[in-house]
Amino acid sequence: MFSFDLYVQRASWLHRVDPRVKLLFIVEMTVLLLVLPNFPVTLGVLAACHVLLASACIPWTRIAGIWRLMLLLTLLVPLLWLPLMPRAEPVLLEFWRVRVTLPALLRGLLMAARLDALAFVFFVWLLTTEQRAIVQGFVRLGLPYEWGLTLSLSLRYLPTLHSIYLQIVDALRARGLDLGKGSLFARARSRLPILVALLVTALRSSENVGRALEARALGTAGVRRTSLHELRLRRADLLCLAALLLLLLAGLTILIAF
Amino acid sequence: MAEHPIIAADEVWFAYPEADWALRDVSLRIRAGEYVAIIGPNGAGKTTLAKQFNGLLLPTRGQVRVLGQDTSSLRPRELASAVGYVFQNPDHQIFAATTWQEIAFGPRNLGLSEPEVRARTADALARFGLKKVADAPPAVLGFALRRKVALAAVYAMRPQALILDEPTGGLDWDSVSEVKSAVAGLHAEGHTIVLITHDIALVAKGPERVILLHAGHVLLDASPREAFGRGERLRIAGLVPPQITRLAQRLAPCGLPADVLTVGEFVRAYAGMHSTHGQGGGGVA
Ligand SMILES: Nc1ncnc2c1ncn2[C@@H]1O[C@H](COP(=O)(O)OP(=O)(O)OP(=O)(O)O)[C@@H](O)[C@H]1O
Ligand SMILES: [Mg+2]
Repeated sequence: MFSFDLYVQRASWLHRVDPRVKLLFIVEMTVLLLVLPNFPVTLGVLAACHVLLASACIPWTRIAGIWRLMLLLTLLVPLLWLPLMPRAEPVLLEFWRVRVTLPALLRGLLMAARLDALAFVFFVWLLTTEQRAIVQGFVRLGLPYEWGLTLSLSLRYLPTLHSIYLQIVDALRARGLDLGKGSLFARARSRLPILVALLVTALRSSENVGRALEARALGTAGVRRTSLHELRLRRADLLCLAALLLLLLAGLTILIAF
Repeated sequence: MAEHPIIAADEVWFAYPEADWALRDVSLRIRAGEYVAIIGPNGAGKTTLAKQFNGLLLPTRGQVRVLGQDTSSLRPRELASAVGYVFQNPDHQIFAATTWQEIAFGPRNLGLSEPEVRARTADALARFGLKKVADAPPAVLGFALRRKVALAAVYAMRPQALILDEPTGGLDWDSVSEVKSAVAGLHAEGHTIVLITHDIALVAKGPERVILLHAGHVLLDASPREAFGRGERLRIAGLVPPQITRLAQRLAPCGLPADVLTVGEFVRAYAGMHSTHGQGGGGVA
């Protein structure tokens, strides 16, 4: 069945790293990519992500899948940048009123690489962290428990909603609903019944889920929750944390020195 | 050649993407006016088979024809007027603001004139006892009423064949009887009925033919009387004949016919047995 969960189950060191440490990794890499827009940093992050994914035993087919996903963006962004710096030197190409310069080409390539690197940073997180752990990490960082629960419930219900959507499409097609005809407006309009049926079903089941949770005493006042899986920073986590801090320091040094 | 069967499946194999076969070599014909029950345990492939009949799914191998035409060459919309399909879960098809609009949706899609749409909608409302809720939003009706709205909405399209996927699931005794008699009425008027169920008691009264599906295979295709006599086949699929049939089968050594389907038949057979014994001066100990 179609799944919205990107998580790949493996027994690697990266899978065992505390989700909070991985969150720090994301934040730090994002900051580095934003404040140091140059090729060495960008390509470095991109390479590091691949090393991390490989060491986490993520199959190459999945990594290739991400690249396929990013392909359009990777090609489109440099293309859009090409005509944007017409006054720079040297000029590579000139036709009609468009002037393509080398700096524009380089800038476009850098932009695309930065987007790819950013995407990979997030994919490292999503491919190696269970949804449950992601939510738990947020909760331990101060997100209210109810919000975390809502988040994980929504994630859990995405595939269910998807299959209900397919059922509804079938049910309405069986009553003669035609989806692929007419203007864009007509086609959007013909999808309205699907949306309404989906909404009604979703509301009904969310009401039921809410009642089921209440029936199991969620939200009882004055109760301190305990949990089965306590997040604890182990030595390996502390090592990762140290490595990340060192990297941050290095980054800051580069930024200040140059 | 005689008239085409309404539905003809020839050596149909079907698999969902990245899954094992859900249907394995299914061949069958459903003729106009037949009342057929498809039974089988959860996951047997009943719904998957039914969706082949109106083109919502196309066979991976083999062929399905509706009124002589290959379903892969027809759009579901064209098929909808020949084969109506009432889904297992009524909530998957209910969307309109009023019951009236819900029922009129199908006939409108068929491109009928407005007076015709009105006439059919009114008829469907009356037939399924929904007149009182015609202006109510169907989504907030009780479950039994939503079931009936779903049935009425498909009935209003006047398809030659009606496929009902578990029409009695989740209903109480009264509502089950109502649905049963409504279906019997439709059959009496000449509609072809395909009833999907795993309630074996439902099969005893009404259907003329039982198709037993198990793991995508047709295990049995026979009259209910014959099917219930073959307990070993039913047991493979985790089903047993109705209680009254089993009681009669146990009492067969005492002279009861083993192919009893209903309580009424049992009583008549038992009374007959008694009177003959009575004349002979003996009795059942
Ligand atoms: N959309 C789908 N994608 C993949 N596999 C499916 C899908 N729908 C059904 N299946 C599988 O196909 C098989 C047949 O399912 P089907 O729904 O036809 O059974 P059924 O006899 O209608 O069962 P039930 O009595 O539960 O309604 C099952 O193994 C089921 O898991
Ligand atoms: Mg089913």
